[in-house]
Amino acid sequence: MSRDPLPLGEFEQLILLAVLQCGDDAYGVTVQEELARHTTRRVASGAIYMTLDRLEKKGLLVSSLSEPVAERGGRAKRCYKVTKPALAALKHSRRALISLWDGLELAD
Amino acid sequence: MPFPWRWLTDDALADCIAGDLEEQRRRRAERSRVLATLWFWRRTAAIAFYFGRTQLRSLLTRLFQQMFTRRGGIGSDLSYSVRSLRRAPAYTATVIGVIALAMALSTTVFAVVDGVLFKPLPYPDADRLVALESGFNNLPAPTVAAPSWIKPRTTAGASALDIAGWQAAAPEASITAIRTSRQSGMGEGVNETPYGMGIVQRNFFETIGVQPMVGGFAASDFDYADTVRPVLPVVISYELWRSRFRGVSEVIGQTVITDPTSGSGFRVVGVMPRGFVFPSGNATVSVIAPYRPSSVALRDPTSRSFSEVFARLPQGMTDVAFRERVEAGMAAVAATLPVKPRPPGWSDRGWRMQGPVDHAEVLPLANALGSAERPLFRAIFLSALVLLALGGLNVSGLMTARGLDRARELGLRRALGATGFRLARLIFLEALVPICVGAAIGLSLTVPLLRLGVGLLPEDLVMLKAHVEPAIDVRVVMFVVLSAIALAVPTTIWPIRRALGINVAPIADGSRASTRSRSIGRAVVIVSQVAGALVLTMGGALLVTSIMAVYANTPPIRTEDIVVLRESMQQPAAATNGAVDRTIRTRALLDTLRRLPGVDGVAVTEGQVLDGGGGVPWWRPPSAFRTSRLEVVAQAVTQDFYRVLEPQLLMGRFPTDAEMEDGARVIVVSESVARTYWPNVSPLGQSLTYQSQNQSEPFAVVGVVKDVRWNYWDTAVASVYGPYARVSRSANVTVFIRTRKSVDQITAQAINAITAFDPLIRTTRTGTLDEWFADTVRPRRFKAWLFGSFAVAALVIVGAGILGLIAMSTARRTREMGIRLALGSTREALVGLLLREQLMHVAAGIVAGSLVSAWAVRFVKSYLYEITPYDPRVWAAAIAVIVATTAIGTLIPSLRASQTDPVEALRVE
Repeated sequence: MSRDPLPLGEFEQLILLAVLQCGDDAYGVTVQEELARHTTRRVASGAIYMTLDRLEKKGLLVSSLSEPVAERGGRAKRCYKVTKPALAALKHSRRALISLWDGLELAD
Repeated sequence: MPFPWRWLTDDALADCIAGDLEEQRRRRAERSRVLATLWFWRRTAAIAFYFGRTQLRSLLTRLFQQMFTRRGGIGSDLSYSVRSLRRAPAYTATVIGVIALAMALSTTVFAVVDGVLFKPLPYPDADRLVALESGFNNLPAPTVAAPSWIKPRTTAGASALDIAGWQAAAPEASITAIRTSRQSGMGEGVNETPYGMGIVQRNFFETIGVQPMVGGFAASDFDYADTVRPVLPVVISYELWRSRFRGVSEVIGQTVITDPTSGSGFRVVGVMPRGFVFPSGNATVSVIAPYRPSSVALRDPTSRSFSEVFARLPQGMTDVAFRERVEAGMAAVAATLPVKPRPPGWSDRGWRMQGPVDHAEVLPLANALGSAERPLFRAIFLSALVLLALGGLNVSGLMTARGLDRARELGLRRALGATGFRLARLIFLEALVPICVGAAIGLSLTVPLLRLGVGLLPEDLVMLKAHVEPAIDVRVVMFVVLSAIALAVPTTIWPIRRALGINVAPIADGSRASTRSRSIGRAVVIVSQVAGALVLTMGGALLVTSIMAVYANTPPIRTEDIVVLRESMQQPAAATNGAVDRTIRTRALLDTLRRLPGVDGVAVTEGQVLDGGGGVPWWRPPSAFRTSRLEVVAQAVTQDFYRVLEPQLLMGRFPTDAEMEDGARVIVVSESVARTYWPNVSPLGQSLTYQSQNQSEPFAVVGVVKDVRWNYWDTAVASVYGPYARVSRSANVTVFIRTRKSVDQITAQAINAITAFDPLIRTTRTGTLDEWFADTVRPRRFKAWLFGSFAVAALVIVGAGILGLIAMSTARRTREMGIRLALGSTREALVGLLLREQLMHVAAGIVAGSLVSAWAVRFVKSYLYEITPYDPRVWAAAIAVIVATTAIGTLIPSLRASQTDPVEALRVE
């Protein structure tokens, strides 16, 4: 019996999609840039980091540390990757949204 | 440097964030290092703020859940406390009632005295406003030995010339002067409420810093010689606009005619803003009129027309510097005045006080206004706090008794693992709930009590009446909240201490020691409550008895249908023989007033009539009593005096019309004079010598009347009534008009007739004789009523506490009652046992309370009227009240306990 996918909040979905869009170079800065590019929403930096941390604790993201580099003041970069449960949850949400949108024609 | 979010999250995430920010900063630094740095720190602060806010929100949510929703939190304790209180309705109702009563009274008092004691004056930069009192340096001592209790006057008013001189000496300050008077009414309807009128100079509004909210005086309003009473332009108070003019927007230009026969009245030219208080300590002013020099003032610029002077000082000028400038101005004014020779009949002191002033006292306006009221209201406020504390003590006693009875339950809780903190929290919440409910009820009772209290305030409490609004404001609510918290903490200290000191072992083995300590504790609480109740009941009984004596004290003269006017009869410049001229003018004045329609009689007296201290030594005592300390009020009366006022004759007769007309040397004395000077013989036919600068002649006593309290106080004084033509010496007289017409009508007509007769005669006070007498006792009556109410409230609080305490302690002994009945005791014997036990405690409390009362009653001595602090009837009544209260409180639960079914009682655990 398959487990129901974990429920995702709206902002959590945006973060996961941004991580997917960033590919292998998904970390705090790039995720923030991706969000800024695709949405008109002004997002607090603290919210992005807390959500990334929370998603990792939920098992929807995994992170890895790169080598420390001088451009980061000698600090390592934490890169994130989306996990399979996260993909399943995103697909579930997408199906639900498409199903709800089906047949709706909203004027601009 | 550690980044702020390191304290708000784990190191790994913090490091990651730091790295990202550094990367972005370096990228931005390629364009501008300064902007990059600014951006970096802005972003750092934003992230730290976000983390901090999230953490705080999370913490508060956890705290709330722990306290209110989890088992063992405050919520469960609160719920248990409410259930526990519901199971003891009598106790809960008693505590809530006591707190509500104490809180209602103390909050009402706070709302009233806040205006006098705590609130700043309602003027901009009120700390720059000062009051200025002018007086005399090196004033000669009085030539005639004044009675010891008379404080010789040392201050004088101010003239327009004085004000101009002082202003010239201190041009940076703004000095203005005012005068107030009470007007009899607005001429419409019967018994129109008197209103206060303030006469102001043209710079009044600028000095006080408050302008009318609409309209105002024009410059021309101040330039008019007041030879005939015109329609005065006036600025009215907001309250008068709302009450008299219904708050209509077209009030400007409205005219009120106060005397239809002469057409005089006033025209509204402006309205003051809401909450404005006229800065006078003499009257509550609702109508402001412009100062227009009278004909007297125009003729003599040194005529002192103003009674109160105040100034606004500029920043940087101290009171001392201002005083020096004013005194320099006084010297400058004095230098411009001609030195006049002292006319015959004037003492050195009296003549000096007619001359220019040379001494100034400067004090903050806030201190000057209401200065007479502050000590009284400090005492009232302290009494209210004592009442509140008493309520708290009462509640503490009830809670202690309840705690003693719950020792077993609390001991079991300790045995089952409850910590001291949990027990303390439980007891605190059980106290806080009824205190909060009582405080809320008390607050809701405050507004009607406030309305009642403000309505009863006497007129002489000027600033208080002006400053108090019967409404609850933020300050009052804060007082209630702080009082509730202050009550909750100390009332629970002793019960918590008792609860934390409970030893489980004696309870476990059923030791009798716990029962005995419970009995001792209960006895101590009852004895202390009874003693406290007796002390307060004693004070209340003394003050209530005083009030009754005050109300019963009616003067032994006719006061009905008597209108009174005080007149200042300035001497014409051409006057040569003061006494003769005065007599002729007075007779002519009386004839004028007798011709007014509706007047049944007119009389004049020159002497103290309810306006100040008492005796003056114009009448020399018989030689055997030269050292007598009897203070005698000398009245110089005209022909109709006895017919108009009908003083109660005890012996002899009144002087005949012929004797009064001819100025025969006959007098009437009051009973105190007769009793003191002629203790063993009839006073009729005896003589007293009248002494003045020019004459010393004997007058024969023809009649004796009852003492009348002619001075301002409520004590009857010894008086001698002599013929006006022979013994008058002053320009100030009091006119009594007996009339069937309305007071307002006859007053207005009389004033106009007097002014038309002689513009030099100025009316300074009007009213009815009933009002004047009522005014003399109003302050004492108010104090007696106020402190009596406090005492009665304290009695109710403590009485309710005793009632509840005894009822609770008796009800708790239901099982014992059942055992006694089962073993053969009768119900009567049971009631007798309970009564005897409690009455022993009550007797001990009465003894203790009597000892304390014997010491404490000295503090109310000054408020008592015609009774002593140790009046045996009052003491007996107070003790009887306490015994009755405790007997009722004991009998009711005793009777109920005696009806116990032994079988049911033995099942009670």
